[in-house]
Amino acid sequence: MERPVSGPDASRAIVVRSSVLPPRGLSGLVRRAAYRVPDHRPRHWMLLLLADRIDVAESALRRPLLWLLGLGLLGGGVAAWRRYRAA
Amino acid sequence: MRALTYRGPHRVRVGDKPEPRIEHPRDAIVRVTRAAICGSDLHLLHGLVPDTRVGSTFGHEFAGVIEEVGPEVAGLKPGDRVVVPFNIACGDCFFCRRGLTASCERTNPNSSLGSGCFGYSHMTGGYEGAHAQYVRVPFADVGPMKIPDDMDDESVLFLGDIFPTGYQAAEMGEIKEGETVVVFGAGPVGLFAAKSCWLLGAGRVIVVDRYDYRLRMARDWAGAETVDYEEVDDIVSYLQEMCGGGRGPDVCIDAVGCEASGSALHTFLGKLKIEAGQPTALEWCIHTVRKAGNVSIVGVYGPPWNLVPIGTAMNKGLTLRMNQCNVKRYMGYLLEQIRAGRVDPRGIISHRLSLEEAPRAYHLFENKEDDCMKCVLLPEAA
Repeated sequence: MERPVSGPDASRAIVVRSSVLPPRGLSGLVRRAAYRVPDHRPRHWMLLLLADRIDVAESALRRPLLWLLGLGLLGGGVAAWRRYRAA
Repeated sequence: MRALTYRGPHRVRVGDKPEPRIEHPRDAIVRVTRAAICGSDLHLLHGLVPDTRVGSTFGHEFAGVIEEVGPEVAGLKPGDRVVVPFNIACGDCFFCRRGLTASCERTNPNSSLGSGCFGYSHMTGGYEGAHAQYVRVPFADVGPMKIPDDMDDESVLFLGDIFPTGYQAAEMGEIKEGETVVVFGAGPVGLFAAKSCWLLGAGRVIVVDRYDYRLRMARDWAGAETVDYEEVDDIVSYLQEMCGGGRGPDVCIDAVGCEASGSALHTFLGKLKIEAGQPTALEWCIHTVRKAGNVSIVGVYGPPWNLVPIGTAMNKGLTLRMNQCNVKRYMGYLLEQIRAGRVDPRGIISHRLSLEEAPRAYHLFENKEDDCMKCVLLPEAA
């Protein structure tokens, strides 16, 4: 997702890159926005640091949210099954 | 495989991750036998390095055994023991051809600051680090150096980063025969810098820190004089008086970087993120060194800025040199220094722990508990 940096370096040939941990979620959106800003601008770095904090929060929330989603689906399924049985 | 993963500032844990695979014809997969924790890993741990993603694996000082090589890797085969520079370099770009592998322009698509590095955030390419059982090594035919059969992994482990970094720090100081050098920081890089100053002909080497056990190491292992900056009123005046009766040392080396203590102002501004950490050691270097002297910086600083007395540097006519280390250019020479018995890198290892104990190792190193100087992880013991 990361664009080549701007300026003279933009034409350089990147030969290898890493494919691990591609950006995702809200932090990924912020990271994509950061990489649209050249890295000589402070905004580039501030956005990346902001994305890091969002990433941590997303990571902390991911498991509880998955549990809630799972419980919601289970509850919905049980309710639907009861309605089906009652009908 | 088992690997250390970052969970957020001050939090790491060991868990399962997919094993790396060959992604480019010049990649190799290395089974890690020894991996050290670097002081700069603490900057990652503390959340100071931009684009450090949750789930990433740190570790850029390592040695291991080649498990698999890509079809275009010449000169290495499975079973070879290697020590790997922390810089990932193509060996053929504008900078690599000049020996400046830390500036390789083909391995880091994410920033114009430098080359790709192992385990050092997506700012340096997002490559996975070596605090794991296996690691992918791009351009395996360029960086890794085979470990001679007569040498063990621990003897050469630090050729991948801190020994060359310390040596380059001394070299950038352009030390002339008999000159006086002050090294700020008695961590592993500071110790190797002090040792390297002697190799380059210094007449006097003084190491500054505040931890007794580290200063003791500087005396015993690096043969330096030491100063505890907390024991003196004004470290700059004290050092200038020690060196040339008030003139100051010829060369100062900053081997501390952005998490220095010693200045309430910088600590306050750094904690508030108004500047990128605390450049206290660098400020002391600039004020302490004699006029027309040299300041060499290998302490790590992050973007976007720091408050540095550049006017003082200009008016004193200082030469400031700095760089991430171009590790590859020094490996052969420093290997011979180790073989000749001039430097025993194993002497700075204070702790050896299994990969499963990596979070504890970070804790020990971060808090300087149990006289921790250098932690080496043994992933094979996981």
